[in-house]
Amino acid sequence: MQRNKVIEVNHVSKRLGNRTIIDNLSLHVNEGEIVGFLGPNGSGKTTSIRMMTGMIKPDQGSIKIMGYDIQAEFSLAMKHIGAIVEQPALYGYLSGWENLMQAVRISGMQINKERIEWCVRMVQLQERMQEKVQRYSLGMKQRLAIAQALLTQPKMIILDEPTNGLDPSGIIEMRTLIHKLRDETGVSVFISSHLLSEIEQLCDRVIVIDQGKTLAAKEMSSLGHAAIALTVQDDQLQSAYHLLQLEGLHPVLQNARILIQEEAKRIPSLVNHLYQRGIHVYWIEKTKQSLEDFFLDTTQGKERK
Amino acid sequence: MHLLVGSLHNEWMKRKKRIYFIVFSMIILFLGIFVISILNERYSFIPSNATPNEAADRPTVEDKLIELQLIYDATPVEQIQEKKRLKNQIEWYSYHLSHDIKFEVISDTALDTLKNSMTGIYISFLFPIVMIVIGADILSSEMSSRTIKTMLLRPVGRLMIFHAKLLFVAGVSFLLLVCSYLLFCLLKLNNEWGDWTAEIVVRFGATLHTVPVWFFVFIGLGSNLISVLTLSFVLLCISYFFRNVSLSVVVSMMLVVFIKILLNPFLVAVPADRYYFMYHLDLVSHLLDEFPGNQHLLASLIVLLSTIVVCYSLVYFRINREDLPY
Repeated sequence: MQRNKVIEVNHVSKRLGNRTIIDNLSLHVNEGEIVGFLGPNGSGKTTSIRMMTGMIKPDQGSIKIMGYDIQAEFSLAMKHIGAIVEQPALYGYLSGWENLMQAVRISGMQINKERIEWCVRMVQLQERMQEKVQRYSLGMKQRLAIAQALLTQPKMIILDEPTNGLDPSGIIEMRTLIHKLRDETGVSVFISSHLLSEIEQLCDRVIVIDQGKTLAAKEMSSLGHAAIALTVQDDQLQSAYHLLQLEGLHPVLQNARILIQEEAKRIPSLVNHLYQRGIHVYWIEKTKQSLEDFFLDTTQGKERK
Repeated sequence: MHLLVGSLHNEWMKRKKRIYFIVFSMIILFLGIFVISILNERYSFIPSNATPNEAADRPTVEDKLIELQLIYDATPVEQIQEKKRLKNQIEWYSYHLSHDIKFEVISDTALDTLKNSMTGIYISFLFPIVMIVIGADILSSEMSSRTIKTMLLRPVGRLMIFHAKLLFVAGVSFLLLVCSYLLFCLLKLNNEWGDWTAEIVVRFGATLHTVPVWFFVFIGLGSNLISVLTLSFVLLCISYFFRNVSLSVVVSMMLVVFIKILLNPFLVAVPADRYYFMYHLDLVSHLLDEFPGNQHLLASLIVLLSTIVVCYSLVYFRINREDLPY
């Protein structure tokens, strides 16, 4: 079923000084989808998010939110998204409730008290709303920032490293909250994180970028498909990888193994083919490709090229 | 409009404690002055040979005219500007005499106090310092603490954020200025209030005119509003470009308070002060012929409006193009 695109990033580029930070980046997020945004440090994730929220202007390309261009129709576009970029920016000397009211007054729409209370209940901060935010823990601040982002009933929430600095229980709470949000409101979530295991448990789809370029985008459902793992000698790993590529396969490197998705009946001929080229296969086993494998293969595969 | 009102409300919520503090300090200060003036009046030492009616000892317009004429005659012809200033003053006092307008060189009614407080050191030096306290860090504090993100991630444009903060600083400052004038009047409550319809002489351009006091107060408030607006634009501009609280406050203080000291070495070669907004904040002094320089009211207005245009243009062209790394 074709779903509406909440955000569309089309061929966006950005240079800072002599360095290209974002290079022809394109991506989209569908309605009701949770998309993970992955990349090594300095790959351009936060810059991309800042461009998606209008804080940085792209040199080329366009970004549309619900069909509104973020540059030309900023106010209309921003009404449809809520975002937390890096650490939540809250007024420590104001109470949690007043921090929410600050967002309400400049939301550009009528937001009633029931809606605000619903947002507070959603992030489970009812008991602490009258306290000054400077007394909140980091996890509570993150939750309050999410409540702020939810006030306008956005179509999408952008979260930049929401689990940064959180303890394990905070990370679990955040994960539960994001799932609950999607399930109860149908909101799309675009989330960047370093924690691959979190992304794996949370997302429907992942987008991997490095050096400002989209390297791969993959549905999480297709990631977990069964694969065949071939174990060869370490020094023959690269040769085996290239030979399998020449055979028209899409091998993935995982530790000292090569994962391939192929029918079982073709495996003997493949092993024989490798043997004839002097590559000895020591083990053949059935396995699954994890997000970590996919991420490492995508980012390291690029380096090999 | 809805967003602008919301933004203004937000600014009030963020700064209300500071404003309350300023108002409280002002009230305490004025109460102190009020109490001291009453105590001084009751228990001051009165010499035994003092005349019962002090007003009788005050100089009259005729006395002042004779004194000015003597100074004018004694001033060398080469001092063209000084002679021009003295001539204007002689013209000023002569106008009172010829039009039979009641004039007291020193007077103590509440309205006279109000009239006098609208000009001079209060508006050109002291109140700008109060305005620095109100808003020199209004943008820089949000940028350095990154709380500006809260606004940048909402559907309010960047210019709207700037406009709201500007309106807040200008509006609150002007209200405080009016309140301080009322407090000045209250200081003189033990004297008489004065006559709103009494005539007062003002200079518009080269000619002198007679206007009622209420009209003068109205014009004075309008002039003060222009000064407050100019200062607000300057403070917001500094706050935007110097994104650090201490730095923006220090730069504001340098430009507003210490500029004379900074500019002094250069003033001999270039009369820079002629084009500097701080020297033109006291617009009302033009009306009362008390402006220290030789410029006309129009020249001062042009300097202030140019300052506003320059500050706004600098921010306008930068704010919409800038990548905000917050």
